[in-house]
Amino acid sequence: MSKNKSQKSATIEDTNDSKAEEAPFVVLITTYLSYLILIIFGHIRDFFGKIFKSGEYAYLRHQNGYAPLNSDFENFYQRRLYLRIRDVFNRPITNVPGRTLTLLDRVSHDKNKTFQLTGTTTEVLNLSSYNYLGFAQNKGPCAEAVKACIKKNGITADSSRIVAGTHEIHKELEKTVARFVHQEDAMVVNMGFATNSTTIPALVQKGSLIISDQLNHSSLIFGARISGSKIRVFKHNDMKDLEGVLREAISQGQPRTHRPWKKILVMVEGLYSMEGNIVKLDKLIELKKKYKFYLYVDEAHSIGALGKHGRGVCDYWNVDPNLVDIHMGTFTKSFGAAGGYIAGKKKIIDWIRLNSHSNTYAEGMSPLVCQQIITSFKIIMGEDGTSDGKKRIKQLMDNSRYLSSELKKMGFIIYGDPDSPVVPLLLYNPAKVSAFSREALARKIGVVVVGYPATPILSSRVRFCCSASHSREDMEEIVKRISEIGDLLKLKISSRKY
Amino acid sequence: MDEIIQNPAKVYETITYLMNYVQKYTAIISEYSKKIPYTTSFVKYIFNVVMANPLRILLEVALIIFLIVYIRKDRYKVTTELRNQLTEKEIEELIDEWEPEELVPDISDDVRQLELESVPTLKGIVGSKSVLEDGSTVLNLASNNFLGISNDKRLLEKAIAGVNKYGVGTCGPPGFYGTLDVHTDLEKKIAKFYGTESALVYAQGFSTISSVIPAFLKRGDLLICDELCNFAIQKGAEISRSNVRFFKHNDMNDLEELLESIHINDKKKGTKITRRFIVTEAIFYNTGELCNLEKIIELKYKYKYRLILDESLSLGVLGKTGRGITEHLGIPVDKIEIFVGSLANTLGAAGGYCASNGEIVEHQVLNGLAYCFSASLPAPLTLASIGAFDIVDSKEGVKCIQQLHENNKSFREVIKPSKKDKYVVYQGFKSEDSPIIHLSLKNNDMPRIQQEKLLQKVVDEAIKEGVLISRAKYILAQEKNVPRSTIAVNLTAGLTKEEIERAAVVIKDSFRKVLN
Ligand SMILES: Cc1ncc(COP(=O)(O)O)c(C=O)c1O
Repeated sequence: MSKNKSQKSATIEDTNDSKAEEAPFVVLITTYLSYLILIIFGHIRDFFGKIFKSGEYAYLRHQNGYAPLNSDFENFYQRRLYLRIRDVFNRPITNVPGRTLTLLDRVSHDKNKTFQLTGTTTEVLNLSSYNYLGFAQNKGPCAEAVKACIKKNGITADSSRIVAGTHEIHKELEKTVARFVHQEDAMVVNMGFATNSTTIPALVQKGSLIISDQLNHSSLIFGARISGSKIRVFKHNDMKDLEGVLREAISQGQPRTHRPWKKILVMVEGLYSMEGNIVKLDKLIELKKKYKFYLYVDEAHSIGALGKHGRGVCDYWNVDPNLVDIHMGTFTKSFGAAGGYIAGKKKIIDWIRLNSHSNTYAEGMSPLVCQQIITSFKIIMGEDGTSDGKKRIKQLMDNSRYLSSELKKMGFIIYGDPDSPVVPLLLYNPAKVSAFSREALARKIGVVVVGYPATPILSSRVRFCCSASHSREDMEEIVKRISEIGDLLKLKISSRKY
Repeated sequence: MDEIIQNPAKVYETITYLMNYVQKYTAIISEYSKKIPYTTSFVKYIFNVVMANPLRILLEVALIIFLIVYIRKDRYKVTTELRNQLTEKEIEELIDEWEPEELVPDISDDVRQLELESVPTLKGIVGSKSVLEDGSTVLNLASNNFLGISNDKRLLEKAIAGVNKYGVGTCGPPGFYGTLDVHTDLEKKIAKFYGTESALVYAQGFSTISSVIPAFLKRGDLLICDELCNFAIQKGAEISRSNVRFFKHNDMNDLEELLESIHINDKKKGTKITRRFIVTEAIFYNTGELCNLEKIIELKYKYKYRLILDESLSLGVLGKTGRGITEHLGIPVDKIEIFVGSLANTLGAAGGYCASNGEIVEHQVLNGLAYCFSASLPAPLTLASIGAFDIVDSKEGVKCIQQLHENNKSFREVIKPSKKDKYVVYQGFKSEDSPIIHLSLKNNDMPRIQQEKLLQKVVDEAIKEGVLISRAKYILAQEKNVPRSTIAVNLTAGLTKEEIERAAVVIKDSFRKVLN
């Protein structure tokens, strides 16, 4: 059966160059062992803790008829793994998250349960904010326009969009977005997460099928789950697997009744923020022609950051944007603002205006945020009469390619597409997660590290986000410092030659 | 293997052989275990158990292996037993034949007119008096500007200062350098204002409660919910996959019966107690009523539930100093486990918050989906929220709240329908204290769309006369219980008594003009 399938679907050939590199065997073993030791020690500490310090564990027990808020099992990870390295997350800052971050130094006297600010600050190079095009600025045209806008339009329309909260500037913004992504119409929401989670239920319902990439963002999963439709998952960015799921779904129809599905919606991201992989849009479009599904592309990280004109994955792959049914994106990243948009055919957007939860019940987007987005769009499109936007796009691409190629040359294991502004570097061992972050901090770089459960248990990683706000000198300095850390933590373990 | 089956005597032989093996190794183990205290007794115990009933142990081990295999098995594969067996050719045909429905249905002209084209567009600075697209100025009784402090000059200055220092976006979720010092300041401010230990800020008011609920309730837990509670709560309940039981809107007898029946059922079945919550709004979005918090608290203690209270509409509105329904009814805040609210309504900024004890707040840092997977609130809006709290928490704030109550009274006096009027004012539980007034048609038998059309005519008429109001808007297809068609008037302290009375007269006249 499966053999047949692969013969028939010869249209989809997977090229192997983007395949992620496997970890060396020794690393796998030590990683498993590390987790084992952590877990065993955790249990031992729990065992004695519950006997000798039962007061501290009271919150895990039933108390006067109330079930504990945290189940012991769910809380184990938090108590025994996360708490050890809590200092590398939620570090507070006190400046624009631009080229550098100004961290508020903090210490913990109770093993990371609480933190106290010391009153001093540390300035580090910022390799972690999603500030791809460098629009997170407190000076320059965007900031000036925003301040003028606050004086003219205030900061809120103080109502949901469909009740009495539609402001002129919303309409201007929506027109600009539609123009930028080459679609008929667009709708904006004041939070990127909610753009997904409150819009998907307007598109698919009971009797529909959502086919979702395995690594889709939590907001997409949230929306899919409350939509009431069935959900199936395909292997991350694996078009062959997707084709298999599609064939199975269409030929078998709905479970039990075998009725045909009302519609099928395939949800993918343009650029996966933990993997640095770019969606294989060209192949996806081929599949779409054959299997007649609708396509929802979340361009949260790719809009502005990918493509010659910064217009996202369609621009990157040279695909006609009209072949994608729903364009979704956020303004939190490349635009240095907040919120998200949905763009598409006018008919679809009108329907979404009526049925998206946010448009009916949530506060509309703040005018000042709208202005930040409008001005940055103008700069990206060159409508401000300068080549600033072009330069930013080019600088981002240069930085991204430089970083990933240099790190690969040094022997780090790097995931993701060479063009991706997100560059994940694999750490594997849980102890290296915190070690990398602390060492980076000591060398004045702010990085994001992620481990289980945000990634598969084996592939803890540090994720670098490149930005147009860095110069080549910055990047050289960064690469030098990362190399030092790599030597220290023995991370240059790739067997590939570049 | 075959040999054994053919010769049963061999079975016995094999078993004795294995037993010898086991005994040999247990001897070695016990040898070593003498060096570690207590191991001997432990090993002895295991050994005894095995020897006492080897068959049972064998069965149990087999069962465990089976369970592991079963659990690890892909769920799809289990259901594939129901698959149709198809040939490749048939599959191709089915794929060719399949025609999906349109992604979205057509919108009828009626609905387009009613729901899309009738939405007003504002310009300039929105406030108690706002300017419409055509340049006319209206008294704004549609937005959630209850204290009249939205877009106050001082807040705009705060926002500008925010842009000067932090720019606009935070470019990352709170976990990844998206936490600014001003976020921590705001959280401390909220906690202090409420008198709770701690607080957390979300980036959108609506998404807050639908993220808080699933952070604490999982499959198997129990959520008790008012049947007319707002849409965000419904969605939060849905995503949590807990058991959700509804009680009749603000009907405490029904709630008590429900809790009692669950209690009896528990006793009968000896059910293990899971996490249990009651969730309610302080002022209901759907009706403008207050909730009967005293009774709910009494019941929650009696039956051992925790309480989530949505104060999106009551923060800054109820209570002498705007601390919400607890102050209004004189209930200590520590009787409520979780407060959730919005920074967008009365405070005129954006975002939402959850105020509670340290453990509950800390839990959301990793488990509040909309907190941990979304960028944090932009700094200018965070600073504006802090400024708004400062205003509410001052003498000026107290004055605004008094003004709101007076406006509330004056409006209700004028709007009270006389015999010949064909509209009614919704009067639910203590709703005279609430600044949200729902007006509906007396004749409730008409089809919904017809009612909505008439109400829209009233709205249009009022706007023409300079008073901006709006119908209450719902997503009809997705609401659990659709409330009846109304116009929801949101009062504000930003207008004088005379202006409010004039607005009430305009609305009344508009009703008369359309209906009589
Ligand atoms: C793919 C994707 N969609 C949506 C979002 C949510 O966007 P926001 O941070 O604006 O809420 C993110 C943010 O991380 C994302 O990565």
